Amino acid sequence: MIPLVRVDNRLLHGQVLEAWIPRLGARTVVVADDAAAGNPLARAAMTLCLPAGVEARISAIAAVDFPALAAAAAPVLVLVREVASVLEATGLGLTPAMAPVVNLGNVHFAAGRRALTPSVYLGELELALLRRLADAGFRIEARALPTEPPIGLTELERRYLAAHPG
Amino acid sequence: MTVPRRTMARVFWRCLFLQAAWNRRGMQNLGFAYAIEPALRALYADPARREEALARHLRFFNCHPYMAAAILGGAIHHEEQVAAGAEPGGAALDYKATLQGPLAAVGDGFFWTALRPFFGAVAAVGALVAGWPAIVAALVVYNLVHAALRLGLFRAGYARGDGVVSVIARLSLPRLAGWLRATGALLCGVALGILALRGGPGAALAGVPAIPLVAAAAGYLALGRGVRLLPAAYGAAAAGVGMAALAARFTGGGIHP
Repeated sequence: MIPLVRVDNRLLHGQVLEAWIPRLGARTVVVADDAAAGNPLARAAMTLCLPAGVEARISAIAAVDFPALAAAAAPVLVLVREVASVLEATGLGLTPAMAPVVNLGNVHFAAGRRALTPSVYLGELELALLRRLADAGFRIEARALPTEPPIGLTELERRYLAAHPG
Repeated sequence: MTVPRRTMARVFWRCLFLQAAWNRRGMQNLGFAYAIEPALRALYADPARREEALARHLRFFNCHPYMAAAILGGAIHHEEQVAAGAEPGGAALDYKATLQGPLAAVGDGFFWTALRPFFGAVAAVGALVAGWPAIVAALVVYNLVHAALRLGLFRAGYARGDGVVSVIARLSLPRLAGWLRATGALLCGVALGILALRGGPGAALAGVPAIPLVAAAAGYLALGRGVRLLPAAYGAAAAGVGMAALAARFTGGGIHP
C-alpha cells in the first residue's frame, strides 16, 4: 500500500527519514524522480543517508509500477519533486484507491508562487493541478511533519487569495 | 585557479553564521552566499562574473548546519572549475541541490538525534556525580567534536568535490548514531538509578525525582494526541521546572547534586 505520496523539492532529507518513515511504519521509500535517477551523485548520497532497515528505490517516474506498490502489503512512501509529478503519476496508473493522501511537504518559492505555509509556496498553476487531483478523489494536505496539523486544499486556496503576490 | 588558504579560513569562519539570516523563502541562502563570497571574490576578477556567481548562490539552500560545511567546501571546489572554464556555470548549483537533502538527513540523524542527546545524558549523569562543572565539560567536549567534524567536512568537500560522499560514507555515522542513542538511553537509566539510590528504595518514583518523569510522560502523551512539537516540549519543560520548584519549597530544600 501507499499511505502517502509526498511532494518535496528536497526529496529525501531529515523530515522524511526521521519523522515520516517511523510514523508510517514504512521500510521502503520510492524516489520517483527523473533527475535523481539519472544522477550518480544523487543516488550515492541518498543511499548514504538511509538508516538501517530502510530501503530507497530511486527511479524515473515512468519506471515506477504504482499498482504493484499499492498491491504490496508493506507500506511504501512515494516521494516526488513537484506537484506536476503527481499528475504524471496518475497518468501512469496511480489512483486515489492506491494512494489516498497527497502530502505537500516542501515546495520552494518560485516566480508567481505565494507563501501558503512556512514550507509550501504555490502558484495558480500548482493550485489548478491540485484541484484536478482533489476532484479525482485524492486528499490533499500540506504539512512538513506528521506532528503538524494538516492543511487542506480549500484552506490553501483561501490563503492564496488572501496572500500578497510574490 | 585556486582559493588562497587564508580566504578558505575566512569562508569557514563565515559558515558558522549560516543560519543567522534564515528566512522562509530561501532558508539558508543568504548565509551560504555570505560564507562563499570571499572565495568568489578570489576566483572571479571580473565584477560581472563575480556578481553572476554570487547571484546563483542566493538561490534556495537548506541543509543541516554542520553538514552544510561539506557542501560549502564542495561548492568552492566546483567554482574553481567553473572559473577555469572546465565546468558549466551551474555545476556548483547542481552539486548543492543534489546533496542538501541527503546530507541534511545524515546530519539530523547523527548530530540532532544521537550526538547531542548523548552529551545531554552525559551532562545529566555528570551533574549528579560532580555538580555543574560536568555540564560545562560536556558542552565543551560536544563542541570540540562538532567543530572538528565541521572543519573536517569542509576540507574534505573542498579537496574531493563529489568524492565527499564516499568520505562521509566511511565515517559510518548511522552506525555510530545507533551506538550513541543506546548509550545515551543507558546513561538516562543510570541517572535515575543514582537518584533512586540517594533517596532510598522507591524514592525515584516518589517526590522530586518523579517530576521530570511525569513532565516527560505528559509531553509524550500530548505529542501522541497531535499537539505541536514546540508547544509540547516547552510546556513539558516549564511544567517540570515549576513542579520541581514547588516540590523543593514543600520538602524544604533545593535539588542537591
